[in-house]
Amino acid sequence: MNHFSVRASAFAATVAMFGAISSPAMAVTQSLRTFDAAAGSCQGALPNFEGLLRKRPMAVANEGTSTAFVSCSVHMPSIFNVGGATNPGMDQVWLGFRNRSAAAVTVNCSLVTSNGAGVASLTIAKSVSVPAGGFTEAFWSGAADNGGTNFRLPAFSCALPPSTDITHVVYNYTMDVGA
Amino acid sequence: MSDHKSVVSPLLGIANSLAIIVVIVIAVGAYRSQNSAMAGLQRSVDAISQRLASQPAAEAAPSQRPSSAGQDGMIERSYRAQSAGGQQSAGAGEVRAAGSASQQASGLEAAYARDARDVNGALVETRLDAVARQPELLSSGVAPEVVHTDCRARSCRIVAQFKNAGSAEDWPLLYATSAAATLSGTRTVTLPQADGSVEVRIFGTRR
Repeated sequence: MNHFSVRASAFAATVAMFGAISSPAMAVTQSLRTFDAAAGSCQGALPNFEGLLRKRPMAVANEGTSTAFVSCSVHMPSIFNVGGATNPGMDQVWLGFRNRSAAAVTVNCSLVTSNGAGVASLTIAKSVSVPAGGFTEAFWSGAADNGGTNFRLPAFSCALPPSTDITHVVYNYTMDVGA
Repeated sequence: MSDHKSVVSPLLGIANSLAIIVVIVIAVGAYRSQNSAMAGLQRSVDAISQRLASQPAAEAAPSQRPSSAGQDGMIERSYRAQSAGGQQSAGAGEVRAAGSASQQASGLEAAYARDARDVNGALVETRLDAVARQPELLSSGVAPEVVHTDCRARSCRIVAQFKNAGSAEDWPLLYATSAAATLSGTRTVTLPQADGSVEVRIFGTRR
């Protein structure tokens, strides 16, 4: 009986020791893909563009007869240690566009960041063609567009031609979800 | 046999007690370690909060740079060199470029000066001038007073003069977006002038 108790206690001590050593170092990360509807993420860049835009549940639409610029944001769930190993930022971002006209249109967009303190703003531009009555996405990846570095806190500027909608912002990121 | 039991039992009891003490000591140590880690975490969060409170939200890694055709352009290399001398922030793993706007501009100007001249540069300049004259930019209410465009083999330099800082923030972004077919990316430096006007220099990477 006593032999058993000693062994059990020793076993418990070993388990506790491993637990104490390993638990602070264990970090669990999870890859996530998030969808934001444009109505919640995008708005006119200037007041005169706002007058051209309609914000519908499924899209922000340019109902005017001239190009309207929109600014779009993303919702980063955590900025703690963003850019670090457990929260490396976004590796891929997509913006969706719908063309309600009878002719193909070109949509220009910039992924926008700043290097801090507003000293120099940086843009990575994309130009995509949206077929008549069709849909397409502009795509940025850290691997292809940013020298292998994920995007940390990006935002977007897009020039929407007439009869063109921006529908969504989708992005992939990996974050620490705890042990 | 019963004598043997009577000798061993007290020893086993002592060993058992020692094991229990070891478990308690380990548990207390682990608890303190967790508390220490949590305190460190809180300090890091506080440091980040303080920095965010004192700086614009739209920050990103200095390594974020235009790519594709200009992936390793001179402007980008210059920027990386500047960033390498930047500050390493404690706790967040962020590297931030150091220096004022004029210092940033100097580095970008030097990189642009090293870019080779291009006989076809004028064609690209014409294309970019057309972008600046697009109706949606001219009627935006934030158009500059003067725009000067100069292009070399791999990059272009656009200098624009504005009456106020707000327009100087808005127009370069509209311009860079509109010029997506010609410039794969841009870096913009804003230089306030003594008379209240603002000069903006956009350094773009040609596609």
